[in-house]
Amino acid sequence: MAEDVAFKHIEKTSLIGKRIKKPDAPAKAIGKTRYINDMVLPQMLYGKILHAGRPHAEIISIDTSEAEKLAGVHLVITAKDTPDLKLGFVKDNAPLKSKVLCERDEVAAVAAESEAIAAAAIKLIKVSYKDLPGVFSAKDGLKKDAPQIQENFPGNKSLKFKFKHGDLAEAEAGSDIILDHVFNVHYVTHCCMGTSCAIADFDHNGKLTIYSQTQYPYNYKMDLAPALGIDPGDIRVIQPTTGGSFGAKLDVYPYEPVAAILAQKTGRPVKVLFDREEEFINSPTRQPAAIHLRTGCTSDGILTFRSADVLMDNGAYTSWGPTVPVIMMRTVSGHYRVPVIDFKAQAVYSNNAYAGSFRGYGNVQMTYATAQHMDMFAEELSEKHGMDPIEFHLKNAQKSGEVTPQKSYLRECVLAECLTTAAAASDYVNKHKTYTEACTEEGRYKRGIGLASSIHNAGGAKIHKSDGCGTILKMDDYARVTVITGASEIGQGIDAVISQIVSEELGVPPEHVTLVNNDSDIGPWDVGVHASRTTFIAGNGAKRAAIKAKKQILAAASKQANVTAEELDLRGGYVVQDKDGAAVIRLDRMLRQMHFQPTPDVVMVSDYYEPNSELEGKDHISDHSAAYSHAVHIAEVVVDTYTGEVKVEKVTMAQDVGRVINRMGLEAQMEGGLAFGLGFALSEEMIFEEGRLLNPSFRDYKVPTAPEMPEIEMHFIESDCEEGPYGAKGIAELPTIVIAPAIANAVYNATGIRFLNPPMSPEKVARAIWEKKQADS
Amino acid sequence: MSSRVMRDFDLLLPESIEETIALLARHKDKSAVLAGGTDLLVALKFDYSIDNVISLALVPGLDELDFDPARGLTIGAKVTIADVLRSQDVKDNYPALWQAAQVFATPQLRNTATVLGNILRASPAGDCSAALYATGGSLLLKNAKGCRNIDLDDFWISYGVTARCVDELAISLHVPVPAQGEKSAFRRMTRTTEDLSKINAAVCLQMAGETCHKARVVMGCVGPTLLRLPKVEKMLAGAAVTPELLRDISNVVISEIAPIDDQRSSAEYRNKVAGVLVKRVIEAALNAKENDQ
Ligand SMILES: Cc1cc2nc3c(=O)[nH]c(=O)nc-3n(C[C@H](O)[C@H](O)[C@H](O)COP(=O)(O)OP(=O)(O)OC[C@H]3O[C@@H](n4cnc5c(N)ncnc54)[C@H](O)[C@@H]3O)c2cc1C
Repeated sequence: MAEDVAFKHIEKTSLIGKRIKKPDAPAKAIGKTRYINDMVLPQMLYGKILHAGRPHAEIISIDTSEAEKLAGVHLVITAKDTPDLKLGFVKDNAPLKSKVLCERDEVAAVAAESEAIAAAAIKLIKVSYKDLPGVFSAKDGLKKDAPQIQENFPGNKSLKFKFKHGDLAEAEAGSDIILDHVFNVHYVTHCCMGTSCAIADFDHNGKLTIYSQTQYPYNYKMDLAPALGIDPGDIRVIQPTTGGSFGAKLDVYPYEPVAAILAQKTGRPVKVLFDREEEFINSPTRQPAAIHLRTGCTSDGILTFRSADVLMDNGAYTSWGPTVPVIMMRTVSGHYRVPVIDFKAQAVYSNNAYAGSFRGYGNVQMTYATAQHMDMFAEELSEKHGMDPIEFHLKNAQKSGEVTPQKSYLRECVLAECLTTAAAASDYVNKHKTYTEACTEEGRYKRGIGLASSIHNAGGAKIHKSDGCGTILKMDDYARVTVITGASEIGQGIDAVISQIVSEELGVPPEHVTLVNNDSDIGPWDVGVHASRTTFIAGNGAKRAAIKAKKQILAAASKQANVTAEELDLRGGYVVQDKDGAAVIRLDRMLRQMHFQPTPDVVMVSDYYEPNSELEGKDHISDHSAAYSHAVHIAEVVVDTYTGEVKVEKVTMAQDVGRVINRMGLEAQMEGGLAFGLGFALSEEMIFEEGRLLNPSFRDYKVPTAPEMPEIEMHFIESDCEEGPYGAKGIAELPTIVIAPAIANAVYNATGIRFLNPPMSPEKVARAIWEKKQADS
Repeated sequence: MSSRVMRDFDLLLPESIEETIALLARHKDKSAVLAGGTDLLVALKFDYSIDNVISLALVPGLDELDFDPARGLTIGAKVTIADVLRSQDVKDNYPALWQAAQVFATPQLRNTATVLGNILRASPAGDCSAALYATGGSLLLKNAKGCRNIDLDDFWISYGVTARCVDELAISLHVPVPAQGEKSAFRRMTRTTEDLSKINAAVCLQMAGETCHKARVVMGCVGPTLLRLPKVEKMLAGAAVTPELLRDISNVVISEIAPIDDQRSSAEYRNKVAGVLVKRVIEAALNAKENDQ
């Protein structure tokens, strides 16, 4: 036996639940990271797009001659250079437009030697427009005499969704309390620190390499190809480091095919990069919605029905935004036990901005409504029947094994535990009572505490035929591991999680695991980073691949050590005896021996993991995620009743995480997710006037900054998900979803006023307080 | 539209005040002085008339931040907000200015932005400007013909427009010695902590016991320039500052201001909170707890 293993014993330890550093964090922190925005290719040209800047117009003529004459300009293109090219969810969008349907519409594009020349050239393009009357709300779009926006969609009707379960009339008759409100959820946007960017480069065989911020490189090809008239197989997607995405890059948007068309036609690489104003105007938004919610309940506090009628402004084109009812209805039917459901949603074309996917995906909007109804019931039941508010929630909270009307199977459900944990930790019941009593007293500052919860898919969401992820794992002669995964890293931290999981299985330090996941020619299929799915799906894939590799190594080692493979383990860079940790051989040596032995072998395995979920069908009855999870947030606020300013002082959260994998990454996701919800609740709002965005800058669009962050107390409830890696569930969207209604409920507790239309800006809160004062006196 | 690429310009780096003035005389309205640049560089993305940017980076003699109990405070053109914040003399003698510096933007901005740049920007939201308008001060301007002093009371003409001639360099600001019993304070409201003000206010009161002899009361973001509130000043002059007086004052404020709706707030809201803010800033001056924002 080799000398360095003599007397060496290595105990079994686990990294799961520990804090693992994100490998790219130091470089990002000191500004060394090279983002796609920084990239320059040899001979690269700069593309710039002329946007219409008006909401609805015919294009009478475009004169590009002056722009073409400018020194340094290589090419100017308009819609007539790109006939028949289509993109979007229902192919209602095009790279360049022959008619203007919204402010951002791409009318022409330039490729030039420098950014400044491209910008100057854009100004030289003369377009003559004939402005048309526009549609600026979903309601107006439905009017009989409304102008038709999209040729193929009469009556401006876009996507439509429906789900019904049980007898509504009967449930209404059996209800003692029925709540009926309309919640208007506003426009917000992702505000990625790295603005949108694409670099396109064609080779001489007609194959396109596109450097992209996309979150879904494999289906991306399928969506991009028709916008270029090429075969998806001829597209290679490279994903350099991106400065945030949060759903914004889950579709192809016009600047990407525009970059590619410019590259194709000039024979040079072309980069299109937005400045901040372009980013605000030309990025997808969160889907706004008017949610008419009705909920019934008995005087015993048992929910009887929920009916939701959702009207959505589709904007001019259809991206992911108007598909969010798929998730909204899971909330309507699954947020607590509700026996009877009636859900309808209709999207209506308008000349406004259009929405994409955005962290929380419809659930941010719907939970803002459902969680406020829960609070209203709790309030009324406690007033009239003396029911404890937590008891009311607990009565309706599902338990493990329950199935929702849409057939979401809640295998491991710890909603009750989340509720009791958060309530106890924050002293919710007592504080709520005290603040309710103080609400009507004199005084400038009012305190409030508010509780909200929600449910979300936590094991992917099978909206495509596959929700799977491929993994290839290899080990070299120095026991370094390379994992090639289909999963994309957009800052969420799959890099740390995969290193951690592989390290757990193979007994090597996490720093010895390298991830390759930025090139579609190398990586195997994955459906994309969305739906809180990556740790669950790609984590499972990495785990399964690592287990295969381990088996292969232990089988080889068992021959040498004359024991069975089951008696061996990998720990601390060694093959060891499982029972006492006695080292058998150093792992790198073992790998070399495998490599050089008479029947040579290298460790190189692959895995394809497809979760056991069911496809989301037309009837919306399927177990569409491999897991579901709950979170409860309790927000404590102080409201300045003179100025309407709301300060969130503390948030206590309890979330079913299945099992903690990387504690540091998990905490960061909670904080980041909460910041999104905080902005949505209090300060962020895109202000439109007749389809034009009035505040396209961080000066006028306010995202929360560090000092606005409340103290956050986190409780992670480990429900141990059978299907998840080590029991983990997906976690990243719930913190964004639950916080806003928790704040709204807290503001109600403080002031006695419900805010059905976020954001709760000081202007809005102050006005409501003054109006209430006037009404009361 | 939406092409916010900064145009090309010549960066001129004079090494003396005289050289700077000569460049201003040559390029006049085709030039702009660069102090911290935190306003100018944003403006250059929109304003394409500036061909020459004249930087003060290498100009000596503009760094003075000096307090003399007999003469008052002198603030040179290159004095940053951070310099002000570090000055014990300012903290002790001009609390309004110090408090404005304290809540001004972020550390990065404070290290770059200058007090004089804030004044020359002539924004109705200028925080240090509001504080200095309340304490009073005069600006020393210089061109090839010579120097002149101009009182801040006469300096701001309308939004972004000042009494400065295009060939004049602002050398320094002089703030008088605080009067006996002078108390001052600054307060503002923002959307997020490190944001531009959506409304701000500053006061400078000359107190003798409970009685106020003279008052200067300033509000920002409620008109095209920073505004003084003469009615409020009159109500304070010679009066004992009682809770009743403060209540009356806060009701009068609305008649002295003319805010507008913009992306940062609404006229309605500014009208409603203006009274609260004026009351709050007067109380702050009297209670002199400068750290309590
Ligand atoms: C992110 C951000 C946050 C901000 N937050 C605040 C805030 O909280 N409060 C606030 O009040 N302001 C704020 N501002 C505005 C700005 O920082 C201030 O107005 C600052 O004081 C300007 O000083 P500066 O030295 O940067 O001026 P510059 O940009 O260099 O100059 C401003 C103007 O004055 C002229 N000028 C400067 N010096 C002279 C001189 N000596 N002679 C003649 N002309 C001159 C310039 O030509 C220019 O027109 C903010 C700006 C940004 C970008």
